[in-house]
Amino acid sequence: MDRVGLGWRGELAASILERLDAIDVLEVIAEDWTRAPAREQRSLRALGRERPLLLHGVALGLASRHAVEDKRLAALARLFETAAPESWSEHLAFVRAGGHEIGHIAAPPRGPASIEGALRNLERARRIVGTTPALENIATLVAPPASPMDEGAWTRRIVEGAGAPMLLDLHNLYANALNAGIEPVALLDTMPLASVRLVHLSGGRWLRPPGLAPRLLDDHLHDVPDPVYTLLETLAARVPQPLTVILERDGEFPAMAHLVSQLVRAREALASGRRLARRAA
Amino acid sequence: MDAESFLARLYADEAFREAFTAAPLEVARREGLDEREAGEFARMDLPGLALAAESYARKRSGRRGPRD
Amino acid sequence: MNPFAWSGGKFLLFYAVVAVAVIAFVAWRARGRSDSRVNVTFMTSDPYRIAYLRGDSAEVIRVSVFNLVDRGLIELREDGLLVTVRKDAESLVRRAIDRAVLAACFAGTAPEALVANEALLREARAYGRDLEREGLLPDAPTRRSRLAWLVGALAVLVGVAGVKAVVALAQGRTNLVFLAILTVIACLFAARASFRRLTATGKDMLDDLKVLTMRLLGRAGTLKPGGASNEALLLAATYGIWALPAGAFPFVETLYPRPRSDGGGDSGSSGSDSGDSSCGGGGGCGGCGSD
Repeated sequence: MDRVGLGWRGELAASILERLDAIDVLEVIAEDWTRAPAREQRSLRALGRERPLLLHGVALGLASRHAVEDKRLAALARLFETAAPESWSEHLAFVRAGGHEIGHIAAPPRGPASIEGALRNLERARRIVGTTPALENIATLVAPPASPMDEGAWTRRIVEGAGAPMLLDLHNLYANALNAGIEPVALLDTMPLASVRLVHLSGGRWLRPPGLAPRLLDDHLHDVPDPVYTLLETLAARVPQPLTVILERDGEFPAMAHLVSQLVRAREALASGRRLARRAA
Repeated sequence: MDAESFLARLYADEAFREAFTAAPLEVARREGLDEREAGEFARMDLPGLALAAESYARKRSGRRGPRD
Repeated sequence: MNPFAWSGGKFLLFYAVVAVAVIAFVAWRARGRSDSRVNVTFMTSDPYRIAYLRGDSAEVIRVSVFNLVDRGLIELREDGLLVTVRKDAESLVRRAIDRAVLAACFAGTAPEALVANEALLREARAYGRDLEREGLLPDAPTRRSRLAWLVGALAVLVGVAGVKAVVALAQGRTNLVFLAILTVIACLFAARASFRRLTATGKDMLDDLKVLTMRLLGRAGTLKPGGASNEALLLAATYGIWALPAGAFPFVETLYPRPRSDGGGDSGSSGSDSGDSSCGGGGGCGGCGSD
């Protein structure tokens, strides 16, 4: 069954707890909790008693030719054990290399080295944490050089090679497509859709540097744009498996009623897609 | 230096990025990238690199964006 | 090896070890096991439950007064009295304690008088009964069990000291002052350890609520008065009314001046936790790949 949920943000604790009727699942950011004492981590179990909990990592840098540090995987494993989430996810990204800390997720050169590195890291992650994470496509403002493969092919190789579920971030896909001048649906169709189990929805804003083409930035500070709901409908029409859709909002928080309205739209998009699929069958 | 580390350094090291922007092929070769990789980095989207690097710098400093 | 035959200092050390063990045991028995069957939404659906869990009846009244002032149903007059501003105010609230506070304020009453009002305290104690039923506060059987263990502990503490006193006196040694002091201290600690206000479940619940709302506390400075959202009420209930920013809620300090001895345990100044805790409690991933 399809589910629609929300990223847990402590700033919205009161509102989220009040409106759990509209929320099927909650997703927490792993790195918000990995350094917390065990007692605080255990509070996530209280949240997990309310709704299924999903853990979302943002700092491992799994998609890298370089090995993810054991201590990071160990910290995540401890959190996983303590918080007892339903599953976890991470990004198809690198975060550091050669002693340089980027400070956020970035697209690595998409080639054999990062694919092989990702598969090794995922196998280690599976061994240490206990399960394989769902893998999320990221948005990038610049196409990574030295990339013999396109994003879809590279993503497919890693997701299918690891036998991992995919977390398809539709706004990231939308932003990458627009920034590359291609149709979002065309990019969607290059992704391993049969592996998609989770979906992220978020918003962004246009950057308009003087003298240059505008670029869409995925900042999680804006509402989900209409075309992304359309992509969700398209996805729901294309795939038979249940989808868990998470709305991400990291700041500039609107009223809870407004966030709930976006959850409702997501449900409608899913339902519409499923209807389209039934009619086509 | 491998391509990934080179890219990470471009994002994280402002002085290195400026030197690269001024002479991409030369810097890429000097850092040990092979000819193919050096050529691809030399042709990379420099405005995009600058935007991305600025964004990552804000992340590293803990700031989120223009509203801060 | 007969410890009762040991000399003063050596026996006192032995007694101290026995006392620590007895006190630790009593504390462990009193705490009990945490039972995770109670959901946080049971508490957040009525924040007054949280207020009671944190600080009992008087705290419920303070939070109720805060809530009603914030919603504009009672106001603090210049003469320092709280007055219900609308004749139909009681129809606008759903909690019995709120109705009782509104009724108590019809003719004007001092804020501190409300906290000592027996009828209001009785009304607030209903929350205590709810929390006992859910295992968050010790119920009567639990209290009886704790008392029984305490009596046992006191019997051991006094008994061991008593035997030593008898042995010492029989040997002509009368300097028992230190032993007596140590015995009294141990008994007091045992009593304190026995009568923990919360059960383990209750303590875990309060801790969970504080952890989960820590970031909300961090942005308390952005809260708006008026009762349009439940955020201020939830913070007031979880951390105390003094956790709310004075800028947005200036009436709080006038209503109930912060106690001088308040170390900020339950109520911190707004924003004091932001960025300090290792538990972010949800800052988001900040956008994938970008700003």
